[in-house]
Amino acid sequence: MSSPVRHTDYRESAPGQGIRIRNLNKSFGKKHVLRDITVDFAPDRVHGLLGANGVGKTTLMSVILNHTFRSSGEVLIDGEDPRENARLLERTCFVHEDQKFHDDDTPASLLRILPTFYPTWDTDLAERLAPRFKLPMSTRTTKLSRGQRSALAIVISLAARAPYTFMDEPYLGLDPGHRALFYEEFARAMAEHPRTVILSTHLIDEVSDLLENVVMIEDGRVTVDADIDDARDSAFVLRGLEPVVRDVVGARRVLREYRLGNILSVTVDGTATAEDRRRADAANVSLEPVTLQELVAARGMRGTDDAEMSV
Amino acid sequence: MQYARRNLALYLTNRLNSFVVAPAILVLVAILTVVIGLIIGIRTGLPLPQPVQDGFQANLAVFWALPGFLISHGALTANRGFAGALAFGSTRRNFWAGTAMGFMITSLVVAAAGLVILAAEAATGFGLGISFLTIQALGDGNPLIVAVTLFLLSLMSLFAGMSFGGIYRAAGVIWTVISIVAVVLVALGLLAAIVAWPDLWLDLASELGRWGIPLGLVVVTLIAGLASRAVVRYAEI
Repeated sequence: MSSPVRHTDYRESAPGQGIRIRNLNKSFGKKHVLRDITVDFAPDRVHGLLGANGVGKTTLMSVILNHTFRSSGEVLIDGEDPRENARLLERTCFVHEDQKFHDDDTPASLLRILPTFYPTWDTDLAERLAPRFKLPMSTRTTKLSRGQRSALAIVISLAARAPYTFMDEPYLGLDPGHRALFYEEFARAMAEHPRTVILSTHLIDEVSDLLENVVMIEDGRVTVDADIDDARDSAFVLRGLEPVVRDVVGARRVLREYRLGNILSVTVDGTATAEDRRRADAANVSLEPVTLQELVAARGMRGTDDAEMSV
Repeated sequence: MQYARRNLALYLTNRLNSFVVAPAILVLVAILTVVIGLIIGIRTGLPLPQPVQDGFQANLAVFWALPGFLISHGALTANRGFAGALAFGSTRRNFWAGTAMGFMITSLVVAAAGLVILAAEAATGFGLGISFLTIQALGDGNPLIVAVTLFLLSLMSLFAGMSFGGIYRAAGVIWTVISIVAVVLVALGLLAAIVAWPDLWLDLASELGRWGIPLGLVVVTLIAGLASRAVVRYAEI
């Protein structure tokens, strides 16, 4: 796996400007998957792309890199249109969740060839990660298990050190031990070589400590685009006996309700004020910060009690 | 050029399909031809009598043997290899260019293997007096015609496969089937034209001489190459 190729580090010569998306639309026939998306992904930050199944997370990442063609709108990476832009696209890496490789490709053959694609390929990292994830190097990619394919995608995504790295549900099929390993190696890679990462995820609370910014998609639209702390402040949870909880909620906008016996949990839109806390204390109602998982469940599946199970 | 070379390297990673299978098919069909000669020889005695040897001059096995595998290899490359190339930051244009260079290398390997078989056949007739590459359609075993024809036949097949694979990625399975049916209809139309106006085609064949088949392959290879380039530009993951 040693790299015979010497390249200059393009990060030194072209500081990133991030990804700018304006009025992006994507339709498959009559089905509108992305609707008028306008959002910026700041450089050298880890962005969580959150949302329920089928809201368009993967499509958005595919359209940004022109893997799938956009219907209308503008996408700029470092101020340039990525479509057929070789100089720009070599700074990107997006191993899809259901990535197809040639039938004869093996992890070994891919890791051998990838230094030619990525000027900043980290051979040492790839050689360290592959055995840690117990990647069977000589097994054809078509024969890899779901977890092994995820491990391969993780090794490629981290070792490529591409300035723009897209990760689509990178932990699928990984056991808890390997998920923990991924989080550890991901955090380490970002600390040593910061880059812009867009990471779509369902295991939101597990990865929340890795994220710096969250973009939430709901029905093809961006509904939250915020620093992770701001996102957590954008709602709060009241928990207690139903009548008193409803009394404390008052006229506030409820994003989601969840019942467990007599106990009602309500996710309330907006930031909890000192008055909210005083009233909750007085009514013996628990007022808690919303977790990202609860926030996605609340915003992505408003009104359904089984939201957490579905997200 | 460096971007296309990355895709060439990605294509050549699959050494078995890129270098081994097509020459192996050529060798296997040569062996099969020898076996058929031996079976005939049980009845006629060996070496084969002259009329049978003359019959082998019309042996077109080489033209049927290679395209099947190479079309599927080209289609798989456009389908799976394409997805990998884009994942690793390639453009569609550079994927096509790098893969086309790889196709040329595969075709050169097939041509080289053909020349080795031709040398053995010309020197020994495989001990039976049979013809596999020393046939009329290949200029009676003219090495240049054999090499050029095998190169173009391979390249045409690979580009055709890439076109079908590209159509699958761009438009789905229905349009892939429609495109295959369309190509078969065009081929049948050409066949009908040959049957309907045999003199015209015989005149053309005699005019072109023994370079007729290579020239025909040049035209079809160019069409297949341009078609593959066009459809890959519209392919999606």
